[in-house]
Amino acid sequence: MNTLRGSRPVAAPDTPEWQRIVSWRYDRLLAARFPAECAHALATSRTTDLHALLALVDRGCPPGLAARILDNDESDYA
Amino acid sequence: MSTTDGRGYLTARADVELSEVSTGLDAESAAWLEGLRGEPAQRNESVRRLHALLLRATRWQLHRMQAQLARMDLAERDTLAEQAADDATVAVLSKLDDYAGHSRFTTWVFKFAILHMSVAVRRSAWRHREVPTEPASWPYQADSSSGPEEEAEGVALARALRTGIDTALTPHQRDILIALAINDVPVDVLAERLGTTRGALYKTLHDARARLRVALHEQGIELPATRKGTR
Repeated sequence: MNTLRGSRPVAAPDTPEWQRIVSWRYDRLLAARFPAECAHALATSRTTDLHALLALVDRGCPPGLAARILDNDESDYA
Repeated sequence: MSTTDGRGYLTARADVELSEVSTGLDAESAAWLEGLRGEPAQRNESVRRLHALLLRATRWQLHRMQAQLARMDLAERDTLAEQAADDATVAVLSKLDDYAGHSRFTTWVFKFAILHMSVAVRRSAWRHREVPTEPASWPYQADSSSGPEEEAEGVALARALRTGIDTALTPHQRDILIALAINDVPVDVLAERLGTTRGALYKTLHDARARLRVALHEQGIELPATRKGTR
C-alpha cells in the first residue's frame, strides 16, 4: 500500500510538463556540480533516481562517479 | 455443501459460518476473494464490479479534495477519477494475496482508491507549479500577540533554525527539508520529480531533522520530543 511505483507518471514524454520537470532536474544536477552533458542525460532519463544520485554527492562522491554507480549504461559517462 | 430439504437455508447458513471460522473472513469478503480468484468469466465480472466500487470511492475522494482542483473542468476531473480507479484496481489485484482479513474487503480496497485519488489530485494541483527548494518565506516569525519574552525566544529559535539549516545539513538534505517541511510540497510530487520513492525522501527528512536537532542542541536550544509516528 505504501508504494506507488508503477502508477501513472506525472507527465507524459514530450509534453511541456515533462520539459519543465526535466529543466528542474537539470538545474538540481548543475547545482550539485554535475557536468552539463552528464546532467542533461540524467535529467532526461526517466529511470534515474536523482535523489540517490544527489545523496551520494552529499556524501562526497564525485558527480561523475555517482552517475556511473547508479546508471546501467556506464559508457554514457565514461 | 447444500441440501434440498426443508432445512436447506439453515444448512447453507451453517456453511457460511463454517467458512468464516475457517478463513476468518466475513461472507461478503470471502465472496469477493473467491470471485477475483475464480474462473475467467467469474473473475472478469468480479473485476468489473471491483472497478465500479473503486470508481465510486475515487469520485467521493475527488469531491472531498475539489478545492485543490479549482482550475480543472468536470470532464478532466472525471477522467482523473477514472484513471485513479484504474490504478487502484491494478494495485488491489496485485496485492490480493496481502489481504489478511483484518477489515472487510471493501474497506481494504477503499484505502487503495483513496490513496491513488489523493496522489492524483496532489500531482494535478502541482502540475503547473514550480517545486521550490528555497523557502518562499522563512517561518517562525515572532508572533506579535505574544509577550516580549516569548517574542525573544521565537526570534532566537528562528535564527537558530536558519543557521542550522544552512550549516548542519548537506545541500540535498537542505533542499528536501525546505521543499517538504517549509514549502509544503507533497512528498509524492517531489518523489516523482526526483525519480525516487516516498520512503527514501522520508528517510532523508528524518536524517535532516536529527541533524537539526543536534545543531539546535549545540546552540543551547532543546526541542520537545516528537510524538511517535509524526513526520
